[in-house]
Order: sequence, then C-alpha cells, then structure tokens
Amino acid sequence: MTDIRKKISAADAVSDAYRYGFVTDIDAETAPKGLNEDIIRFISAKKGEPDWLLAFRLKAYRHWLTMTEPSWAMLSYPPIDYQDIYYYAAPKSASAPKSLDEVDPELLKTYDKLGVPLQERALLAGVAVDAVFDSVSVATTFRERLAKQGIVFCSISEAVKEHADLVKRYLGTVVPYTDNFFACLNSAVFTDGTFVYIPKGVKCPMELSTYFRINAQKSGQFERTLIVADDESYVSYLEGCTAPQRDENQLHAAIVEIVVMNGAEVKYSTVQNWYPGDKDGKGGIYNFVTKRGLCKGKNSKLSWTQVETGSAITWKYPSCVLAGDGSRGEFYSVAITNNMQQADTGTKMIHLGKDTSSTIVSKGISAGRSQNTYRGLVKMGAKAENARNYSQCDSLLIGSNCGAHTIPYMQSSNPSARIEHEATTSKISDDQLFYCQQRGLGAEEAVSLIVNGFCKDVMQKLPMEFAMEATRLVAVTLEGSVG
Amino acid sequence: MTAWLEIKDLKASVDDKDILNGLNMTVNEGEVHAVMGPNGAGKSTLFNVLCGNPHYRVTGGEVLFKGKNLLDMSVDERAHEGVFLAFQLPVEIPGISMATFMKYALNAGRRAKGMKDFDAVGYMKHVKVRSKALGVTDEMLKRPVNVGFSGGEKKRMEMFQMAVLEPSLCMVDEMDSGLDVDALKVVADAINVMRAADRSFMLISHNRRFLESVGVDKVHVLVKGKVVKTGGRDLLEELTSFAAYQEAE
Amino acid sequence: MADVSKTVSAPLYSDGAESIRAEAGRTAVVVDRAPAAKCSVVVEKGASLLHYRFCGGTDAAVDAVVEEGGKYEVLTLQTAGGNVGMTVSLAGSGASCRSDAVYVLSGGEKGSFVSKVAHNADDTVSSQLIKGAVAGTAEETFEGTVLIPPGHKGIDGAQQHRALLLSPTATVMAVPRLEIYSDDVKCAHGSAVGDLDEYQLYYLQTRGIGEEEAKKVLVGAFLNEVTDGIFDETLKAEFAKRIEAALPF
Repeated sequence: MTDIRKKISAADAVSDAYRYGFVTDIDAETAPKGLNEDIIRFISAKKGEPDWLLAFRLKAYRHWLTMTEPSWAMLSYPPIDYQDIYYYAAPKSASAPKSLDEVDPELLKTYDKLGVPLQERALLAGVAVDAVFDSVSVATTFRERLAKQGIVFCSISEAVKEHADLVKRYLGTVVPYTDNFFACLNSAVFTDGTFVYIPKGVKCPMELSTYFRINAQKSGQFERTLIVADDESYVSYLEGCTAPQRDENQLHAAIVEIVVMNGAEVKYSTVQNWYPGDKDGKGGIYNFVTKRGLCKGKNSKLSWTQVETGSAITWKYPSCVLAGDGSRGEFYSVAITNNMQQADTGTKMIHLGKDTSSTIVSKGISAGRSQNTYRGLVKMGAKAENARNYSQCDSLLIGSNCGAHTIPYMQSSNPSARIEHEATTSKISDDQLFYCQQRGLGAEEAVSLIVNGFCKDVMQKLPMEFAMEATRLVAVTLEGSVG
Repeated sequence: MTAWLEIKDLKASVDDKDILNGLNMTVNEGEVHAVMGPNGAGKSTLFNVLCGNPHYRVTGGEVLFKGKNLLDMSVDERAHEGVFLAFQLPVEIPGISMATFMKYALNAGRRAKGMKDFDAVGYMKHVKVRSKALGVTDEMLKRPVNVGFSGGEKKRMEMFQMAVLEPSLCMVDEMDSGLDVDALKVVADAINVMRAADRSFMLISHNRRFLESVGVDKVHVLVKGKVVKTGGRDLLEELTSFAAYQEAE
Repeated sequence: MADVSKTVSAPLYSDGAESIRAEAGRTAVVVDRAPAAKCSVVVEKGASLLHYRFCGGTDAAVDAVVEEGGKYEVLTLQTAGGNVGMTVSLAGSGASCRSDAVYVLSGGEKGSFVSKVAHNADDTVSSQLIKGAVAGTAEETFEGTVLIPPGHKGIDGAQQHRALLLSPTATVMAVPRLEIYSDDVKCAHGSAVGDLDEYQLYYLQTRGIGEEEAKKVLVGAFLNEVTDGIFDETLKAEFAKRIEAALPF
C-alpha cells in the first residue's frame, strides 16, 4: 500500500498550493483547507441552498465551537486538526492514476478476491477520469421506475430543492445538531447524501443502494442521509461496498436519520471497508458516524445490519428510539479489526413506548494488534410497559496481542420491562484449527471458515448479494492474522 | 519394494514428555492394520504426529509416505496427500453446516491438484451417494459441524467425511470408546465399503469382534512409545492381556 | 486491625476491619457487620479466605490481593444506599475468587455496587453472582469489570447479574464490562433486569398464599440463590433475616 500513501502525500503537497491567495469566489471549484463561517457560506452558496438550510448549518457550526471532542471511547488517536481538512471538494490530485494500469496491483488483487465488477474498479481506485462507467443512464431508468410509485430516491442536495417541505420537516429531528461533537460538525458541513421517501402503503420493490446515486464517489466524507418511511411502507437500503475505498479525506463524520411511521419497516444494511491504514495503522480513515432511527409509529420496525471491516478508527452506534407502541428495533453487527485498527461500536435501544422490543446480536473479531469494543445502551423508560430486550454479544480473539471489550449499559425504570444480556469472549481453539486443516483447509481458510460460522447469525440477516460479498470480505480482512 | 508408509525411529514429545521413543512401522497399500497397546503407549499420539498436530513435537526419526517426506509438510498438505484422521472426540464448529464444511475441504483438495472446484450439482451428487450409504440424513448434513451430535453420531459423521474426502491413509482413533454395538457396525461397514487396493487403514481398537469384522491384515502392539510386536491376524487371539508386553527398558 | 492468624472453622466477627490477612496455607472466615470505608485484604499463597460483609448506609470498599493458589470468596449484602466497592487482583498463578453480592434498596435510597476483578496471572479463575431487588423510588447502579491484561493464559472469568424492579419508580443501571487483552481466555457474562414472574406469583396464590406474601416468598427465593451456599447456618440465617427486613413488604 505504500504507493497509495505516496500518492496521497503528493496530492497534499500540490493542493497546499491552493491554500494561499484564496478569495470567496463562487466560481472556484474548491475551497481551501480550514473551517470558518466563510467556508460554510461558500458550501451553501455553491449548492444553491435555501436560506433556512444555511441558517441550519451556521447554527450548528456556532454550537460546535463550544463543544469538546469526546474522549470516553476506547480509542486512541493523534489529535485531529480540524483546520487541516478540506470541507468542500478536495482538488483532484495531479498524480491520481489515469487508468487501471497505474493502480497499485495489490489493490487490484483485492478487487479480484472480492469479485468487484470490472467497471467499478476504476471508480473505486480513484482513477482521475470522470464518466468512468456509464452509470448515468442506468441510474436514471432506475429512478424513473421508482418515481412511478411515488418513491423519492435522490441526493440530499436535490431533495432540498425538489422536496423542501419533507426535508425541512425531518432533517435534524432524529439526530439534532446538539447530539454530539461529530454530528454537530456534520450538520455544519455535510456535503451530500441520500434522501429516501416511501409513500403510504408502498413497498419498495428493489433494494436501494448508494451505488445508483449519481456522484456517489465524492460524498463519503460528511455524508448526510435521511430516510422517511410513511405508514405501512417498506424499504431495504444498502450502504457501502466491500471494496476497500481509499479517500484522500481521512476524517469521515456521517449522519443517517431514519423516521419510521405506523406499521412501516426499514431495513438498513451496511458493509463498510474504508481503507484501514497500513500494517502500522498509518493513513487509515477515521469513521465517526451517528446513525439513529425514530420508530415513531405504532408497530413500526427498524433493523440495522452492519459488517464493519475497514477504517483505522470506527466510532458508531446505530440506534433506535422505540417511541411508538409495539415498535421494534434490531441491531445485527459483525465488526472485525486487524493490524492496528480500533473500533468502538455498538448500539442504543431506547424503549419509550409500551410493548416495544429490541434484539441485539453483536459479533466482534479482533486480530493483529487491534482493539475492538462493543458499547451498547439499552434503556427502558418509565412508560415502557412490557418492553423486551435481548442482547447477545460475542467476541473472538485471534492471536495474543489484540483486545476485545464488551461494555453494555442497561438501565431500567419499568418493572414490567425485561432486559436480558449475554456475552462471551473466546478464541479460536487450536483443536478447531487443526481439525479444519486435517480436512485439507489451509490455515487462513480455516480461520475464515470458523469466523464465518461465528458470524452466521448476523450474516444471514444481510440481503443476499451483500451476504456473499461480506463472506469474502471476512476472509480478505483476516489475511495475515494467523501464523 | 519400498513401503507405502514407512515410519522410521520416530520420536515425539508433548509438554516436554517423551511419548514416542523410536517407533518403527511399515504399512503397505491396501492393508488394514490394527494398533493396540495399553493406555499411554502412544497410539493416539502416533496418529496425531502423522497428521502434523502442532501440539506434538517431533524430536527424531523420519516418515515417508508414497516416497515423500511427510514430516516436512503442513497439516493441510498432508491431507491433500491423502492422510485422514477420524478423531476420537471431534471438535464442534458452530455456524458452519457439515455440508458446507465438506464442500470447502473437498474444493481445497481439488485446487491443490490443479482441478477446478466442484459445481453445485456435482457436489450434491458426490455427497448424496455417500450420505445414503452411511445413513446420514439431510438434517444431519444441515446441522453445524458436530454441534449437538451424540458420540455415536459424531463417529458416523467422521466416517461420512472419510467417504467424501476419499483419503488413501485412513487413521481411525479409539473407535470403540463408549459406542453402542450398532454404531460400531456403522464404522465397520464404512471401512469395508471403502476398502480398496490403493487405500490403507490404521485402527486403534481393543474390540476383537470389531477388528475381526473388518478383516485385519497386520497387528502392531505399542508399549511405551515403541512397537514391541508385529504380527498377522492370528496375533489377535494371542493378545489376552498386555502385561506380557510391558517391558522394563 | 484484625489479623486472622489461625485456622478457624467458626467465623471471626471483626466489625470495621481495615486490614484482613489470611496466612499461607490457612483457611479463615471473617464476618464484618460494619465495613470500613476502606479495607485491604491479602490472601497469601495457598490460603483460603471466606469474607462476609453487611453493608448499608455508608460507603465501603475492599481492595483484595490473592496470591498464588489462594482462594478468596466474598459475599456482600447491601441493604441501604451508599457506594459499595470490591476490587480483586488475582496476582499469582492459580489464584481464584468468587465475589457474590445481594442488594436490596427501597424508599428513596441510592446505591452502587462497583466491582473490578483483574486477572493478573496465569490459570486464574473468577466467578461472580450478583442479585438485587429495588423498590420504592430507589436506584441502584451495578458496574462489574473483568479485566484481563495482555500476556496471560488459562483464564476463566464468569459473571452473572440479575435484578428485580419491584415498583414502577425504581431504577437499575447495570454495566457488566469485559476488558480483555489476552486470547487464552474463556469469559462469559450475563445480566438481566425484570420483574417477578407473574405465573409464579399466580401459582403461589392458587395455593392460598396472599399476593404480598407471595411476592416476599419469590423475591426471597430469587435472592437466596446467592446465600444458599453459606456453610454456617447461623450466618445463613443472619443473611436471610436482614434481606427480609430490607424488603418493602
């Protein structure tokens, strides 16, 4: 991976040339590094946003200035210089690869192992050519089909203009800008993201995926997603992909807000494999994400399924606020850390309504010198009559230099509510490894088979295409962890 | 004639305790050998060392299998050469069905020989024939490897794996500990069905009826990590107790 | 200052002890009815210490070190608010500890039970069973950390926490934490919060037991799982009496 690191630092060197001599000029394609009200106005103007959205951003920014970065997670990283980041359209590096021939062969090998379609490889490798694949036509026909049923699936920037009332009504209601430091930052500088609206009674006929959104490649940094499922509707949304994505922007702080109305159901699946850094942990992505769903309606349902294998640092707690009576939240997660990766991830299930229920299944696998922490909160409010929660958190350690931690918080203020939590920590036994090898499996293949078995309960919740990719991804992530 | 499996002066220890102390044994192609001896003699150790169990340390000697140096190979390489161990206490692997496990193992072996992976149909056919022959139900194939299986069922599944992987050297460890008569019959039948000119069996057992039903060609008696006597089928009758073979070194 | 320096089969009452030491190879039983704010405990090599604490109303912390082969069994009863602490370091190979607790809070009491067990040596075993009942507007926070630093093997750590909420205004916050930096580890923990099983309540009432008494019986049975193992009958009765007195019915 050294070639890519060289390219990133070369890119930085060229871009620094833009830092000086900047003037607030809307025609400029890029803004210099750093964050101040000027930059925010620039971003908002560049996107042609209405005043109310600019006001939203500025309010968040001013509040952010009063906040301190959280330090309670089991994560250690060098201090982030928030002024040393591009908040809008980082300039294309002059030394970005011009074709697949110039891309690191190791990266291409990984794409091969993961079965990434050829036309996607150039895009993922950051080849500096615009219309890399003919996705525009594919995406437009797709959207036309959905539009016939009244389903809105577009970028947030578009939604702000075409569906302003919906966006205004829900944006920031599930994750207010005051929620936490990173959510506040995102609220000030979010670049783009997805907006989905499913009308009453409509069951979205296909899985929605970020792949089909135009200009997906630029928005990873401060992505903002808002999904609203109206009464009795259904949608399954896929985020991310298994291919390792390098990004010149190291800090990612995304927000995903979901609102689920009466009898509606939303399935949100994520497979995340952001560049994890090299063997010594340098250069990987820092992924600080706030994801939360409000199960507003009666008998509404939200399930989060995630397979997290990338990023140098992962900080995310996809959560459900179970407000509607009878609503249900689910969290299924596989988090794998290797080499020097660190993950502090988990979920929050807040039971407010009666007869609400939640299930948490978390599988953490640590290898190399990584640290993997499950942190969860299950809260039963005073009115959560007959609420039920069941959590199962299992950790698997591979090798003796890594750490696996489980920190579940359970708080109950209603006697008829029931919380049950179980956790185990173990390692892959030598006996299991020997047995698999005696049947002809190589050491690494044996480990990935055993780990996939360990994660089965979560993997089977993923939509099929994601599940197959995720299984392969587990094997690739654990390379080099044995022996 | 060079022996098919030749074990020369094999020495091995576990946790700094010497278990095999210069073991010599020869097995020819197509033969069934019984390995007998008192507890602690090193019978299971011998099988595990032949498979390359990292828990055991080889401290001397040589093993040639089909003319190749077996001790130099990794555990899975030996499996690809055709070495198979039916474990006394097979381990559990939650979350992976037996069917999936066998598919992975089979394909790993095929790849090692430069062949392509089995396609879905081909694999099912391969498995179905064998599961039927050994009384393995579809439900048992779907269960995670060895999870929730009784002792007898685990042994049956070991035999099933042997049938699926078609090894050339089949080592069967302590088949008769705590097994009912019917399960023993399943094992004996499996061995008889799989007997072939290019396949050999090494069986650890004290059950004379079992050994007689599979038709043993040679009997080895192990005491204190060495083979102290080798004989033919008739040796089975002579072996009333092992006391006669306990020798002070 | 209480020093337990001879083998005792009858418990030694030492209220407010600030230091307890079980000498090498010996067994000691200590009961503390008014635990001090800080008590340091040392279980020497091969020694065995049974420690019973009746806490309530004041803060009381124990800092224990268990040396090689030592065994530390402590049972804490918390019947009123206050912060109760229990820190155990398994400092020598083969050391073990069993740290159980019962808490019963009612009225407007606020209490916490914070425990930390650190496995600082190989082949150490810990087990914890904590059960509680909270009524009125009382609040209890349970935080139990099991810490396994890097470089240790043969570790077995288990922890179970169960709490009953006896009124709609009572609150329990439970945080069982596992911090594990070694892989040769077997660790499991479980935590559950809920109320009395309504079928059990109903069953008792169909046998003629009034509702209030039925609750008393069931809560008592629930909590007594922890105190069941106390060998000394007088001590066991003392625990039962105090638990009953602390319950709101």
